[in-house]
Amino acid sequence: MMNVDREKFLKKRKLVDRIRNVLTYISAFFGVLVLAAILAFIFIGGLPNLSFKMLVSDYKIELTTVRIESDRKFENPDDKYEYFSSNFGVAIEDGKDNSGERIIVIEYLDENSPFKNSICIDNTDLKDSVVDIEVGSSLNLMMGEDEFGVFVMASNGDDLEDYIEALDRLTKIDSLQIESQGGGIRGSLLTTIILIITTLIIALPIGIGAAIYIVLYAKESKFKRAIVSMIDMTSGVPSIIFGFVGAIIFIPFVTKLGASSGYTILAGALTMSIVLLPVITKTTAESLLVIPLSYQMASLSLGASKTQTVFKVILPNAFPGILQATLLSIGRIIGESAALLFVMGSNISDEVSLFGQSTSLSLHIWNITSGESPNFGQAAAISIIILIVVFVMSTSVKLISKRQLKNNGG
Amino acid sequence: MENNQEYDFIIKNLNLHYGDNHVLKDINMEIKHSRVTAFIGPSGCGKSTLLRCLNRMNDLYDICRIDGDIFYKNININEMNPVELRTKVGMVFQSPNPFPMSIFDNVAYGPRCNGIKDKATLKEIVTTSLKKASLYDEVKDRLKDNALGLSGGQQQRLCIARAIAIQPEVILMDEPTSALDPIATSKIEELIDELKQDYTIIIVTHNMQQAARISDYTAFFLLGEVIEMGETSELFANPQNEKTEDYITGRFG
Ligand SMILES: Nc1ncnc2c1ncn2[C@@H]1O[C@H](COP(=O)(O)OP(=O)(O)OP(=O)(O)O)[C@@H](O)[C@H]1O
Ligand SMILES: [Mg+2]
Repeated sequence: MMNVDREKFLKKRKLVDRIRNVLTYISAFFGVLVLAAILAFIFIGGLPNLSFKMLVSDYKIELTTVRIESDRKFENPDDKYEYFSSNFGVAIEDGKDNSGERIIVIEYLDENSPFKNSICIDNTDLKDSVVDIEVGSSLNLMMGEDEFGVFVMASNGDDLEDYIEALDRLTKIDSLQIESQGGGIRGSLLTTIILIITTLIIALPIGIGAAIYIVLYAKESKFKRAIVSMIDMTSGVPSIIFGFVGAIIFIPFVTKLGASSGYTILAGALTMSIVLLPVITKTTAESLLVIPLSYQMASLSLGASKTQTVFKVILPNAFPGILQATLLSIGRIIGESAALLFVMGSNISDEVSLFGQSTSLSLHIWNITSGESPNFGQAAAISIIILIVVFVMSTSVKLISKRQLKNNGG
Repeated sequence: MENNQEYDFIIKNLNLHYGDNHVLKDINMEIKHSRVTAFIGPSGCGKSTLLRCLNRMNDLYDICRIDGDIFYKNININEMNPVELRTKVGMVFQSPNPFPMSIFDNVAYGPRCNGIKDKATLKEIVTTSLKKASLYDEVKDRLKDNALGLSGGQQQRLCIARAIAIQPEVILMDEPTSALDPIATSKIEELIDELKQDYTIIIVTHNMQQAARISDYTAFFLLGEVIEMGETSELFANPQNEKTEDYITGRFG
């Protein structure tokens, strides 16, 4: 009798277990699938646009307008170049700027080409000086009159063929726009780095100090419990709320400090510090809590003061936890967008300073995808950078905690 | 306070609570200078707690409340700076707890915290302390190695060396051999025998033979009270209290 019941139970349990397993596998499969699709989309779209040049060049295009005169003809060397202007000794080709837009670039310049003697006509300090045009410079709007006095014009919206044809009708270009390549993310990259450093400088000492106070100094009391649960709660608050509170508090504050506008990296760093304080405090506090009480006891019993104990024994042992907090924070700062939108704005700038307005990589993405002609290619390229940093950070955090477990265990 | 050089500690009407838990009840006791005193008694009767009172380690526990007085060399310890007190009253814990740093740094920790910076002096202190703890010969070639790499017995002797390095007058030992094998245990017992020339030692132990072997005085605790205290030979040979007799003969506990 007993045995029959037992068998029934075993069968039923087997069935239930199998159903549970299958459900787990299915949901895991979909989770992985979605993740893989997102990653594939980003990498396929972004990798072709990712280049070192993009990382180090400016976002804004610099325009120089020049005039050029030619008094002779040039040979296309070995007829090598498909789009060659015999009047000016220059060959052009299609190119892409850093943000993936099509541009026309100089492929070849004859050594005697009049392009090397182009005169700046901008109303700037450079006016009337010779402009350095090189292979790789990009050409845009060109205007002039041909020998019959007919107005000729071409721009980088034209085919290469049309552009060359227009060029060869002229011997004298009245106005030609030479463009530096724009679309780089140097400014936003630098901004992100400064933002990270400033935020950590502000938030780490405060967060670590708070953790030390809570774990090692605060007496068990209602007040302490209130603080601890407040930290727990705030670490779950959506960052957009910190963002607008930060805007209300820090923008006027930074303006008072002397910045011309409150929308600054500093305001961003202050806001991010508030966002990160609970995380840093919690992570550090957790690492302080697992340090054996016996270390503290031993230190005190040897006639060390409490401060000496904290700095010589406790903090060195909490170092892995503090490092984890730092890495987590870096990941959060790089990925944050909502809170920063309020205090830094999304205007991309190439001039970066703590008291100036520029934007972070995440908001750079937002900027270039929210306009009329969204640039998803470059957005994906920047996303790759962000993903890699976040991935490296979270992997190191895991590695550190694994090593720590091992150390504590044996 | 009577001026009494004979006693290092005089404990008067000591009561201790952890929250609502009345752990020590009306303890009155004197600890003789330059002698070994053993605390014995069943688990949970408050031996470690009393030991921690003597160097004010209970200050670490928020829920601990102490009434009564303890005098160290005729000074009320509550009127002393706890850091000062602990440089005079060293402690060795039940389980070896070296810091995760080098052997040298472990022993030099106390002196460094007390302001000794000179390298030669530190080296001198470390060497003599390790020698006194009869560990020097085993570790002299690897003073820079991490102390956690030592065996349990070596670690415990390192902790004793570390306690000696601050040149205390009293050493409190809370079951220093409970985590050790018989050989390591006998080494530490020999060590205590040597150390008692220079130090007053108070040792908590569960091992009757150990108490009988190494101590001059023994106090028997039960449920937070001192049932009996006296010269060790007297107490073991001729216990006055029935409960003491039951305990030391192993009839309960
Ligand atoms: N930090 C503490 N907080 C609260 N209660 C404590 C604390 N330390 C000890 N106690 C309690 O005080 C009582 C005495 O503990 P104590 O450690 O002094 O016993 P013991 O005699 O040393 O026992 P053992 O021989 O097992 O080490 C026990 O009931 C214990 O639960
Ligand atoms: Mg104990």
